[in-house]
Amino acid sequence: MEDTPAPPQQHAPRSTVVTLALFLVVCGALAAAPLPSWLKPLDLSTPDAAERVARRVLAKPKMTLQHVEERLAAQGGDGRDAPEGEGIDQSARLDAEERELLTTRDARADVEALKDVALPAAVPERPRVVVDRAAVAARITSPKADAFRAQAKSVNAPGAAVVNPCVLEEPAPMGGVRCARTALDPFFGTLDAIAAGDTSARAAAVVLGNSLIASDHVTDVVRARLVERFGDAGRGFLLPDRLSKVAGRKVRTGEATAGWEIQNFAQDPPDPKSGKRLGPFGFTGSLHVSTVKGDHTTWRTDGAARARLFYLEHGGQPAMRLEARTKAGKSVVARIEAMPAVAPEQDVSVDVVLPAATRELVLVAEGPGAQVYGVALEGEGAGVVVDTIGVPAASAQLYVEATSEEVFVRQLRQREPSLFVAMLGGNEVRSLDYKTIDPARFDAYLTELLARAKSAAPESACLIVSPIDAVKASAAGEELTTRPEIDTVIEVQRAVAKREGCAFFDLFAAMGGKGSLTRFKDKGFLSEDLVHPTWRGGDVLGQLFADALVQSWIDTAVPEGGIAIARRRDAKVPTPRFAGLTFPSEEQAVVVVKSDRRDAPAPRRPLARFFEQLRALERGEVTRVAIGQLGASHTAGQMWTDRMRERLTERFGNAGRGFISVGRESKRLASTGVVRTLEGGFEIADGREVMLGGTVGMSGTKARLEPGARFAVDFCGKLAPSAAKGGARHAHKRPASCPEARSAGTLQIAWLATPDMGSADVAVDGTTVATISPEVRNLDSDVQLLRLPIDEATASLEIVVHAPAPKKAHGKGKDPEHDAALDERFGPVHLLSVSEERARSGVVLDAVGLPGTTGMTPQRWRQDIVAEEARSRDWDLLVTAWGTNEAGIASLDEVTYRHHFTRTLDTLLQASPRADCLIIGASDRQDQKHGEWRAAPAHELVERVQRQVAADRGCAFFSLRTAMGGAGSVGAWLARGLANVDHVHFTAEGYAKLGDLIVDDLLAAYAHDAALAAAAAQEELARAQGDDGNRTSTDVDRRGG
Amino acid sequence: MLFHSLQFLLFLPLVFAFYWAVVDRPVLRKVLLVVASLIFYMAWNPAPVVLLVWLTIVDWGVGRWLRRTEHRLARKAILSLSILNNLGLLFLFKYADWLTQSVVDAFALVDVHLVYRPLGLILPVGLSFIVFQGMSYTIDVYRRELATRESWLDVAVYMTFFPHVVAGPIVRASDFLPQVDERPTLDDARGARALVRIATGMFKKLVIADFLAANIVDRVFADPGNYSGLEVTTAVVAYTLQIYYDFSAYSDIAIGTAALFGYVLKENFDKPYLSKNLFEFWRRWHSSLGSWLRDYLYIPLGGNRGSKARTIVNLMITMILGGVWHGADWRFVAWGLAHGIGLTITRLWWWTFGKTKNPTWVATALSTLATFIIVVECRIVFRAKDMLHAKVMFLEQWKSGWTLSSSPNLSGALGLVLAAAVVGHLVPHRLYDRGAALFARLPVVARALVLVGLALFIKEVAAFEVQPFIYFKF
Repeated sequence: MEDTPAPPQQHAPRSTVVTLALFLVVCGALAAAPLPSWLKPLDLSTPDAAERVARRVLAKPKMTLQHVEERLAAQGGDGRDAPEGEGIDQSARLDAEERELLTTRDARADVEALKDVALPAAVPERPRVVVDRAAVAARITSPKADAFRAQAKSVNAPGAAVVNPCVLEEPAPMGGVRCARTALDPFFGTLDAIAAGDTSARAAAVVLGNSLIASDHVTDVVRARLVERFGDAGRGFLLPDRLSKVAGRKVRTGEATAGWEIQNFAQDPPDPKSGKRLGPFGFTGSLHVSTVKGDHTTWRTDGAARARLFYLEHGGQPAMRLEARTKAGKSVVARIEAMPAVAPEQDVSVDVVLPAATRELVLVAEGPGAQVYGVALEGEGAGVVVDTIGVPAASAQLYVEATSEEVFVRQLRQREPSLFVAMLGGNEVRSLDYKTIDPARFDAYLTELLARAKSAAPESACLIVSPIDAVKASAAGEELTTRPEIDTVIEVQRAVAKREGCAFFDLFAAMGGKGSLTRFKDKGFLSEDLVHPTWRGGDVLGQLFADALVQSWIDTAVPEGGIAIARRRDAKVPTPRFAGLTFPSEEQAVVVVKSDRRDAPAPRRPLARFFEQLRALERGEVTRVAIGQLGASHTAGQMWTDRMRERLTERFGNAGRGFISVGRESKRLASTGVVRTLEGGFEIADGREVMLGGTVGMSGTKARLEPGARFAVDFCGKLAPSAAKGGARHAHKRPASCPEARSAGTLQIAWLATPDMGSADVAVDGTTVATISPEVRNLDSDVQLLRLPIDEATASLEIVVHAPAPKKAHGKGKDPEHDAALDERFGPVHLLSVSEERARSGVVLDAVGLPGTTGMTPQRWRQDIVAEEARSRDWDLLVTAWGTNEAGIASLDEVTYRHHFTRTLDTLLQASPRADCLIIGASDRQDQKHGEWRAAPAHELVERVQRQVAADRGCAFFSLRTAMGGAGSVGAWLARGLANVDHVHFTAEGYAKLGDLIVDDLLAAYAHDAALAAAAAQEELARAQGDDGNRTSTDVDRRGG
Repeated sequence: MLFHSLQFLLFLPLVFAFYWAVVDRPVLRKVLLVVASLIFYMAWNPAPVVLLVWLTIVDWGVGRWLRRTEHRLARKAILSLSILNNLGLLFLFKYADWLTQSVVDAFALVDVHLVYRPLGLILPVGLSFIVFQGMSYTIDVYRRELATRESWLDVAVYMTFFPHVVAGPIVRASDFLPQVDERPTLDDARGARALVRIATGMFKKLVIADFLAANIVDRVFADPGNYSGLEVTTAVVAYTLQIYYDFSAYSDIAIGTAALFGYVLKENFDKPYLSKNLFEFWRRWHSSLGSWLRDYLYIPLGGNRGSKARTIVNLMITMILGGVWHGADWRFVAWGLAHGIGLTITRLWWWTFGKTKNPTWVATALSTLATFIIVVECRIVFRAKDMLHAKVMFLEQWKSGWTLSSSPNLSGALGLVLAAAVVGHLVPHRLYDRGAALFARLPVVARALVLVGLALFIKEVAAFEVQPFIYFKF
């Protein structure tokens, strides 16, 4: 083809060219001009912003699905190395601070930076005392068990083994992998603890089922066998009465008067016109409602030491009272007041300590409308508790759809099971036959039921038990044929158990499989309805189940690392229900019992000293209780700690804002009235960028202010709009240090002495009050502290680095020596932080966060600086909130992490000799892989290590994931608008909820600690009075506090 | 390169300016277009450009060879080369792993366990569109419906033209190549309309499609169990709207951009959710694919010229293959099958009862609604990550929670965008045309300011995370 010019055309795209050009010019002008962001299509107004735009232009476009991007990235490295914000138009809506907080960093940088740091040769092993399970089991023989086994033999029931899969593997020392935890270990660990003689151990099982166990058949034998071996820890959960007024045993219920109306989730819903309704149901699937004044129900206590009543609080609820009856008489142990006609509905529980020798507990409804779920009775000693909840016609679908998820989870959580058992399937066999359900739906319902159980008790084991043989009778009723659908039901149950990490017991196979019910019928073990076994049949089935469970306990190898189990705290003072708080040093790894611990003095309870300080604060004996929280983006984002500060200062008073790192303007700080400004020449050292020995403060940053630069903090600044996205509301509170609530106090400035340093003026409210200079420094440390007394009017601090006066036209160059002297005199100032405290009685909470960091990151920084700055804050409680970033490192090595995290904690604890410690675990996080959101790969490892470290260092541990609702809960948080779409961070409301969860637990633990102290004081008083009649009560009062 | 990226914002004016500077030099003009198109394509990943160039060379060569060959069988064999090359590469990159894995899975069911190491090839963006366009050229030449192109440059411009290379519309050689020869023109009104078309596409993508994705669709499809029945159903409907606004946005920008270079691309959408039956839907939805399948698959199979049974078989084959074209997954088979069944039922109805000549407005409304519901429910399979997930989505729609109080994700803003999406679908073409004409009558300064205002508006209300176009993955 010839490339000859064509004749000029009439139609030229001139106007389109001009339109496009004008469009670009106007966009560019708006982008570069100092205008509000809504008038800027792009931000080119600062070099940083322009650089971000340039990065976006040069970035590779995200043109396809995530997993393809990942595979592409994998071809040239790791997807995590891709440029920040690639393909994501973040800057369009987020400022730099928000981007920083939301950017998920590659936390492996810590592992890389610390790889050359020598690790200890091996983690010191604890002395171990291994329970000989077989020997324990053999020690007890039961004639009844033998009789039941003989009956089982008579119907050719061969028995079956419990399938107990490994749910967590770990690298074996000699290569390969070994099992770190089997599905039933949480339950078996509690059995071990009892066998090892731990007097506080409690093996609790909650069994949910259908009519098979509604009268406690089958499970009664399991309970009996376990109690024979491990002791009885109480009757457990009991309903107010049977779920039928005419049928069933009352072994697991109270004895109610005739007036009570029975509701359960299998009932047909009442006519809406009647104004009545059912529920809301919890894990019991039932409710008893009083209909006349004086309705009452009576439970045998069998020596229980305490009781917890579960009921529904609602508008118009009548008063109720709990009476403890002894041989000598009765006493009211709790009284529940009537509620006004309009009151929110909520399931609640009330704890009571039963007087000694209580024989019966009676609940009396003082009017109609009392709605009661039941009562849990527990003893003081070690042993087994088996809750049997059987609702006739129950199915997995009903437990999921006809119960309130919140009530179900809340109630089950309070039962603190170490084993959750789902004994369902019998009704599903018929439903499959009638085509009212299909296997996929059954699978989904069963999965959801287990998810709820896990949400309620994340540390619990789970076990699915298959249905028993289900038959159809011939027309004459003589010939029984096993329903073919039972195979499908069992197949689904097996699959769900495998997928969800639960154990599985095939009761159908154990009783002999197809045709076994015919043999049961022939022996009189089957009732006339051809569905339910008689009590003798139940005994046989129960024995098969119990034998399988105990055999599984014997056969399962004890994990090398032992099994950590929750240890019951003081039984006399009911333990509060914590959302996520635990005390790992009070837990006992049963097979890892330190033999020398038994006779050693009881270790100090975690948080006890902190609580004592809070009590002293409330008594007016001290004026300041300081908390330092160090962490990553959750902490750096301020919203979480803002809420914690707000709650704690509401209760205990506000002693000031506390720590503020030196940095750029922060909308997050401004949203609570603290305005930070950094102007002039400055450079911020980033602790995430250094390899080792980084010269940064404990917040991981340091600001180098060049001559002429200015850093200012206004502690009473104008409240800025929340930086939160998506319209989320953030509670604005004016800082208590503002005029309306101000008092005198102290400002502390932390800076770093460096050879090149210059000097700076420090001004308070515009008046220069001090100078930072190399001449005035403490030679013992590079960290320099300047503490300034401030009066009640003080609201702002300003630090201006000295700079040479503007040079005159002929100034420089004329006298080079003079210029050099000037340059020498004026140098940068390295600022670390400022802290504001007021001389008011209250709490100070320091939020020290740096996005993207892990519990290992501070090991990359100069430890003397970190320690010195931490020491200056003199905390009473050290809180670490790392974990979420390291949970995302698939290749995280346990030994490495344990070592560096422990060292980080030790550095901070040594710098804070008065402080107790609380380790907050990783929040639930999901990473997107191949288009799916998956659990963070190292969450279990991180939480395990942090718990261990907490146990070793006597810290409390708060499981953020448990408090959120367990693994995968971030999805639910996202659905409720509490989590960010990145499945890592949270919205303002989410952070506020996290703050509430932690403070609620801390306050509950504080109250519990006070109750324990009071109980101890009472005991001491009683003993003192017994020992020495001359001692005065004043002495005891003083001790008891 | 993404149309809605800063890169494209700089790329387009640059190429536009150079193009019109050399517009009167045909070879330079074409070279510029091919180079620009390859740069556009390589912005994502440079490697597949080799494939793209290879396809143009083979199809161009096949075209030349066909011109010189008269023997019927030889011509068929030559055409087969092109088809084998196009479909072979598509199969290799898109379907090989999937089909082999399916075979391995099938054998596993009878306890025969085959060992297979997946090829793990990454499907180049736009390959499904490119091979269809390549085949359109060689088949049309084979059918003697199109003159052979002697110049590779012509074929390269056709196959790589950047507005359509990544996600269509699937341009037919017979529509496009004649335009390559002509000296392009762009008058004031066409230029203005092209800009309006691009702006419309940006708005549809960034304000509506991405908003729906970020605020309801993605989160519900990721974990439907967390959401109420109302939320799940809303998400399904929202996805139906999202995919329309996403894909039609791409087509709008592609058509608008092509127009800036003087090329006319055929429309790809015509308010598909107002269709009264599935046949009409397929005429209005992604019509460049529908017509391609009709002309190059359905009709060669015999179309509806054979027996009724044969017609139905042809229909089913076409729809299943059309489904598979979207992706190597049994979900797309199921989706194609579902539409095939729907079309078959419609066809059987017409054969039995005849078409209603003048339906009442009630009948029209009902049939439109029914068609929409079928399309919406079929979209679940299309969007879900696997069949099990699709099943869960189907079931989750019917669970409890059909009140606003139990559906916290149904915000006012979402309602507003959904309403805008529905209204946008109902706006008659003539109103849109009037708006475009009004824009064309504005002085250029005013036009630029309108576009700046729109850019500011989009920036302010667009979803936080920019999503790639959905059809990129097909």
